[in-house]
Order: sequence, then C-alpha cells, then structure tokens
Amino acid sequence: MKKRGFLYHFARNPKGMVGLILLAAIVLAVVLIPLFMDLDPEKVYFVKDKAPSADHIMGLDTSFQDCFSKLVIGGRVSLLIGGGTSLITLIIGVPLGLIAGFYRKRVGAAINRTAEIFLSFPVMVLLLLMVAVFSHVTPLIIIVVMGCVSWPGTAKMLYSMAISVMNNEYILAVRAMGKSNARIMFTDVLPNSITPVLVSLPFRVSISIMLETTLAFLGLGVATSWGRQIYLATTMNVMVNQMWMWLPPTICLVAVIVSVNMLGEGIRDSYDPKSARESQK
Amino acid sequence: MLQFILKRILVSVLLFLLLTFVLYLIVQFLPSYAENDINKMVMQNGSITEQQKLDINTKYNLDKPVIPRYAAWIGSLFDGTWSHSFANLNTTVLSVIKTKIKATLILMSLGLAFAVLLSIPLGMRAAIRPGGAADGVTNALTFTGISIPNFILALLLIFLFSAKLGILPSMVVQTSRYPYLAQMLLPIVCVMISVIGPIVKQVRGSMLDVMNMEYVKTARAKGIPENQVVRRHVFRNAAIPVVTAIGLAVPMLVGGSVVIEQIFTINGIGRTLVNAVYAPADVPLIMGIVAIQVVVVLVVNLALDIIYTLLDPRIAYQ
Repeated sequence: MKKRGFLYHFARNPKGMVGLILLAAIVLAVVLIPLFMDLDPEKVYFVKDKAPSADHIMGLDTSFQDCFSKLVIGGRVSLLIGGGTSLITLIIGVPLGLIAGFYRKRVGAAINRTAEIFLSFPVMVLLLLMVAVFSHVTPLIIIVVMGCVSWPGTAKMLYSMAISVMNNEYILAVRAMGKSNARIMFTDVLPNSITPVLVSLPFRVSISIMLETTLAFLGLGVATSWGRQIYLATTMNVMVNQMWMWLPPTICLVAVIVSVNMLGEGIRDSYDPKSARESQK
Repeated sequence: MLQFILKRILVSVLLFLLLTFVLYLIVQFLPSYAENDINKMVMQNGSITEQQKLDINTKYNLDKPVIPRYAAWIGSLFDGTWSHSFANLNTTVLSVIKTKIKATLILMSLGLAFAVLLSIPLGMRAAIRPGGAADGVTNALTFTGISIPNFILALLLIFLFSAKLGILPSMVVQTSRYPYLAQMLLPIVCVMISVIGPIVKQVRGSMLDVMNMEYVKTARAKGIPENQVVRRHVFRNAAIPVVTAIGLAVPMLVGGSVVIEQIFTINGIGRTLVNAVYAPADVPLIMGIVAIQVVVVLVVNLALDIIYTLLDPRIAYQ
C-alpha cells in the first residue's frame, strides 16, 4: 500500500479540520476587524444605558468602555501571547533539550535538574510573582516571562527524543565521517527528534492562553484581556443582569482553547494515524 | 530502604534551599514597602533626610545585602516567627499563616481526594467497557480539564448553582446561613474537576495496557472471576503511572487553589498570597506562603518515590 503523507491524513481528520477552520475564523476576525472599524478599548463613553445598542453592539462594561472593542483587541492580545510564548518556549527549550541529549553527562544533568525544579513548582505562583514586578504589564512582558517559565516541558520532550536518536547507528556513522559535534546536533539529531515537540505546539499555545487570561483575571496581567472582562462576572449583579459584559469573552475564550486543542489532536493523530486508531479502541 | 529515604530527604532539603533562594531573589524586585514609606514621607513633609531613609530601611531589614537577609529569613523559620509581616510589623508571619492554612488544606485535600476516589472506579469502568457510559464521562472530564480554565469553570458553577438555582452559596463568609462545608462544596468540586482529567485518563490508559498482558489472560484462564482479575491483577500493576499522575496534579492544585480561593473569597493562603503580591509587596508573608507551597510539592514527590518502591519492589532503592 502506498504510504500516505501527513496532509492526506490531516485533511481527512474531522477534529483537526473543524479546529483549524474555527481557529482561522477567529484569527481572521481579530486581525481584520480593527482594520475596518475604529476600536478603542480605553475610550470612556458618557451614556446612561450600558446595555447593548446600535452604537455599542455588545454594550458597555462597568467602566463605560465598549465591550466589543475590548473583545476584539483582547482576542488579539490572547492569540499574540499564545503564539509568542510558544515561540519563546521553542527558542529556549529546543537548544537546551538538544544540548542535554548530546552532552548527557554534566551539562545534560545540570539542564535536566533545572528543568525538574521548574516543573515541580506551580507555574501559576511563579508567574504571579514575576509579573507583579512590572508596574505596567505589556503583552511582550507576559510573553517573555511565560516563555522563561514554561521551557522545561519542551526541553524534556526534546531531550528524551534526542537520546533515542543518539542511539542510532547513523549517528555513529556520521561521527566516523568526522562531522563536528555542532553539525551532528543540528543536521542529524535535531531534524529527527523535533517532530513530537512541533506536534505538541498547539497544546502549548492553549496552555499559554489559559495562563495569560488567568493572570489577567487576577488583575496581574494585561489590562485589555478576556480574563479581565470575565472578571466582571465576579459581581453577582453583573453575572445575572448584565451578561453582555462577560458572556461573549467567555464564549470566545473557550472557543479559542477548544479549537486550538482540536487542531492539536488532529495534527497528533495525522502524524501517527495507526496509534491514534489504537488509542480509540 | 532507610538509606534511600534519608538520601531523598537530603536532596529535598537542598532543593528547598535552592528554590526559596531563587524566589527570594525574584521577590526583591517587587514594589517594596520601604519605597512606599519613603514616598509617603516625601508627600507629607516635602522632603526626607538621609537618616530617615536609613531608619525606614532598617525597619524593613533592608540595610543588609541580600544573602545575609536570606540567611536571616531561613533562621526565622526555626524560631517560631517566620519573620514579621511588613503590613503589620507586630504580627509574625507564622501566626497569619496559621489562621489561613486550614481553609486551603480543606480545599486542596478534599478536592484531590474526591478526584482520586472518583477517577479510579470511573477509569476502571471506562477501560473495561470502551465506548460505554463511563468512557464517555471520562472523555468529557478530560476534555473539560484541558479546555476550560478553572476560573471560568468556577463562574459557570456559581452561575448555575448560586444565581439560577439558588441552592449553594457563591462565597465563603463567616456570617453565612449555610454550614461551612456546604459553602466549601462548590470550590471543592471546582478543584476536583480541574485536576481530575489527567488522573482519570491515566487510570483508563494504564488499565488498558495491563489488561492485554499475558499474565492477565492466564489469570482469566485459571477461572478467576473477572472483577477479581481486575482488582487483584490489573489494578495493582496499573497503579504506578496513576500515582505519577496524582503527583503531577499537586503543583496544579496549588496554583489552581490560588485562583479558586480568590473567586469564592475563601480566606486561605492562596488569596493571602495574591493580596500580599499587590503593591507594596509584603515580602515576608509572600516568602512564608511560598515556602509552604514548596514544601508541599517536595513532600508529595518524596512520598511518591516511597510509594513507588512499595507498589513495585523491583524499583531499586538508588
């Protein structure tokens, strides 16, 4: 039988496709809408009625700011942070995991121990302390801080893959050919061990978005974030009588996380269709 | 065995020192009380003398370099004070924590206990009958765990049970007409759902793995009733990865309870931590709480290592 590629399986994976389409729609919406509309999430409107109207289709929040503007700009922030953090995680985690797998003795042990220490402490508490250091929190700060905190997962994953790749005989062969360590690392070990890391990338994105909105919810993250909008629902009156303030961001946040996770599962299953079928048994 | 345990304890102590030192360094950058006091003085009097500045720094122990300060903090862990809270220099951190820890312990331990007690039978049933009702619930729980942030889960539970049905309170307050445990029910359920996903998934997964082993077939062939096969032969061998999953849930539990205490206004250490972090930062209080969290995580890991060796004698005491 002809061996079929990743794209063949992915295009036929309903979960992955639904996730991809939903996510693409959301990304397009938050990227395109601000280009055509004048959105200012910080502008205060002096009107009596906060309920949704023709001027403010999603109404105003407790500080008389436009909910729709906040929803769109907050979505940009969340997606930016999700993507940016995963990128930094890759930039830090991949080289460290690779080096740890290659120089297994001292350097590897040091990197592994450090990763374990990071993994054993609650990420949320660490983020809380680090973000509170900054008086004005921008998305970039959140991206850098979260990237610095969440690289160990990526590093460990790459490390374990690199170790199994290093045991292959072709590594011995290229060694014998006299290739330098750095070249073996990047041209032979890296391409053969990076797949699981890339496949797990969507899950990294969804975890980052969850952490970012949680921080904002606690009042320690970016000011324009879905988490901050949802925070308004902690007042009973808003929760019951002014649902326009918190329901749309809640739905959007869950939709983003669900679609990213579905995309992730679709990608994972298409890379390894056989094991996916087995795990469903 | 004893030597193994002692060695693990020693490693944990070193880890404790390392982790708290790093956290101590981070905390130094938080907006400080001393600066706040100096600013206040300048606001009141228009100016401030060098001597007054020095006095304020001495008041908050900032007159020494950071390493002796850290050493002094470690020392204070042994003299029954855990240093003094910046917000009120007359109260010791230990006395503050003593009044707050109970609620957090109830929340975390009951949340985790319910999660474990529910996920074992559920995961086992899901493994025995794939595609059945238990399997569906397992999938739903796993999906909820990775897809719904726990603050949204908490708000939805409050919306349903407090706002709409009106059967459970949304806040934990002393003057409430509900008994304490009824007030804690929603938060505990929230904690449970936020950690149950990976545990129940692991129970199901490792049960499935073990069920296909040869020795399980042998046990069945001997004529042992199916439920005894599952309980005696499968579960014990499937337990190790489950124990690992429970261990991994603990850091999540600590982080999650911070958020959940905030939403349900539970007077626990997580909520106290968030309040202490807001400017100006109550450094000794933060360090006291963080130290407890570090200890919880380390003790759980240590306990897991010991449980592994009890579950599987083949794991060597290294």
